[in-house]
Amino acid sequence: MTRFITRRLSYSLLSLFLLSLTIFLFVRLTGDPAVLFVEPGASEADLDAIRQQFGLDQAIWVQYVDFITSLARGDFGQSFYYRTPVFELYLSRLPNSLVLATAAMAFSLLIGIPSGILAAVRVGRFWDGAGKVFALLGLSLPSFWIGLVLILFFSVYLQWLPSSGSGTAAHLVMPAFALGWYFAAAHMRLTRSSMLEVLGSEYIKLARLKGLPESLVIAKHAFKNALIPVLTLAGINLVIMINVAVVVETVFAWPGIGRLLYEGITFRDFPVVQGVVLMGGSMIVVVNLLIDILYAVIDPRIRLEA
Amino acid sequence: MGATGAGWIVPKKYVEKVGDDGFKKAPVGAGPYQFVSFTPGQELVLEAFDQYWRKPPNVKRLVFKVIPDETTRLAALKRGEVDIVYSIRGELAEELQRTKGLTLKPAVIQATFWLYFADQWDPKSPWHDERVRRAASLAIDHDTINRALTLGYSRITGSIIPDTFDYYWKPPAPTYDPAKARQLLAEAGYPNGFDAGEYFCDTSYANLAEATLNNLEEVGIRAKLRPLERAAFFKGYAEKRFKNLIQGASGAFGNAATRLEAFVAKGGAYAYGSYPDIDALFQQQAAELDHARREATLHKIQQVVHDRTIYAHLWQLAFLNGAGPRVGESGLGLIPNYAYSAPYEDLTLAHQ
Repeated sequence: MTRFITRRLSYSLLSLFLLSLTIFLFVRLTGDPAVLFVEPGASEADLDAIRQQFGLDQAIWVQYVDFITSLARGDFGQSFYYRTPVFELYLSRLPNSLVLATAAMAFSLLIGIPSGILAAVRVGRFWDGAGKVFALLGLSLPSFWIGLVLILFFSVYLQWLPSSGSGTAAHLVMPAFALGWYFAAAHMRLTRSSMLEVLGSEYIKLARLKGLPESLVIAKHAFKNALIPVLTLAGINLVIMINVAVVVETVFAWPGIGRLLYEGITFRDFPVVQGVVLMGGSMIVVVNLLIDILYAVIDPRIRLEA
Repeated sequence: MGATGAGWIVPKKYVEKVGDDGFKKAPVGAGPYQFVSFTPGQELVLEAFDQYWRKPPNVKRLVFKVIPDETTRLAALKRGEVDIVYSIRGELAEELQRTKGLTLKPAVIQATFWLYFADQWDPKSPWHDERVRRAASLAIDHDTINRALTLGYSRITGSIIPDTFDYYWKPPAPTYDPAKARQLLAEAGYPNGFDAGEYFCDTSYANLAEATLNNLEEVGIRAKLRPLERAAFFKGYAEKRFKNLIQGASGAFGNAATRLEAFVAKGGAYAYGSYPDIDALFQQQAAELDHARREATLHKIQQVVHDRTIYAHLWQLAFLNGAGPRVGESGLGLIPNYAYSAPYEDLTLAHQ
């Protein structure tokens, strides 16, 4: 088991190293941040002064070594735009993203799981068809469009909810719906397929043969087993919701990490983009590592095969 | 007192006492409002400083909110969540204008936009022929584009120099004449038009580029739109990596000479080539101490730039803002060529 964990841990560290290198290089391919700090027409001397101030005049490998050594000390660098440590900015936005992601996840599970179960137990009938339409709409309607329609309807026409910002429960309703909508459809589809698989298994047939009521078969025997992959996906989706709800947070001016990433990209704020991507990547790597370890604990075949 | 690099006055003793980090947390300036709080990317809160030398501000508290999406900004104004919004364009600006209680506040700023013929120094390029460049300029329906995108508030001047700059020379107003454009193209040897390659622009103004490109296609100049993110666009523009057509713009402060230095004269940061006669005139004006003679030389340069159609003018941008019913004086437009509300001490609420 120790060998298994060590190997998985080394894979995780390698993934993070590759992620750091990729984001470091890619963000530098997107343009020169110095040009965004001056008006077009500024002299080359002005641009050079800005590059020097940000350390962008150094050779790229020197910049990367600086970046990695700072990272090893837990320093994500200083934002070019806000002149504030990136980690401080990240932490200031994290609570907002956690609140939004939790609300959106609750919404997506409350809608996605029951509708998935209903579609599976009524397969080929009305509720299954309705579920398919819901999943199709959820996965294909872009969240910015849903966001704008919600604002138009609930803020401008009905005047029920604030159009943007944060601070009260009313501010949370529309962004949580817009963000959770896509994931509700994804959770619905997975719940349906997982339930169908479980409902077709031998032990469910045996339970039915023994004369157990159908509600008990579904709720006690099928649902619990079908839930495992859904919760695994939900865990990963929660990390995604926290870190990359870029569109929803921008449309609703929700001050979360997704918007911080958007601002970082817009202003070519390299340290911010690197910091946010690495923090998000680290969360996903850690969650995957924990899932791998948990699977290995539950099922010894996994660690033996590995 | 001391001046920061950004150009405003700060108290020297205070900065020395609290240091840079302390100053960032509690900045003190010399303006009509004092700092209350700042949440990066979210909001800035200011409170009136009653002892401001000019006059005590009328509005006691100002809250600046960051709402990145244009549609959401307009929705917030309509709901009364905010009182003033910046940068609302096209159909949304029309909606703002239509909405009872809201006021559209256009401000023409010193940002001129143009079409640059990057290949005009290449004898093999169609753009080398001045008639082709003039045809492109004549093909652009400035007024219709202006009405559609900035409700007619942008200024069509015909120059890359803002009309408020010192040494500005007023060129003849641009005309829209597609028939003449086709005739010029035929005379230049392109009776069926030609494939003009790529049209580079900053994505923020891709709407202007699309409209211009449609006009060019109507006379037979076919080009492919290449919108690039702002930083990538200006990097490519400055590094002279683009070819064919470039939709350029500048809102930099200065005068006609500084604008010409960057975009026309030899070695200019954004000049893809130059003309010896213009370079000679540019050197001449740079050494000229007599204001009137320098002005005459700069006027001459601008005239040559116009006559040679080095650039096709698009517009001098009107920045469209909006104010809600609670606002008396919005401050929008009080300072000529300035896009935003100012001076803050002059802002009033409707009941004041």
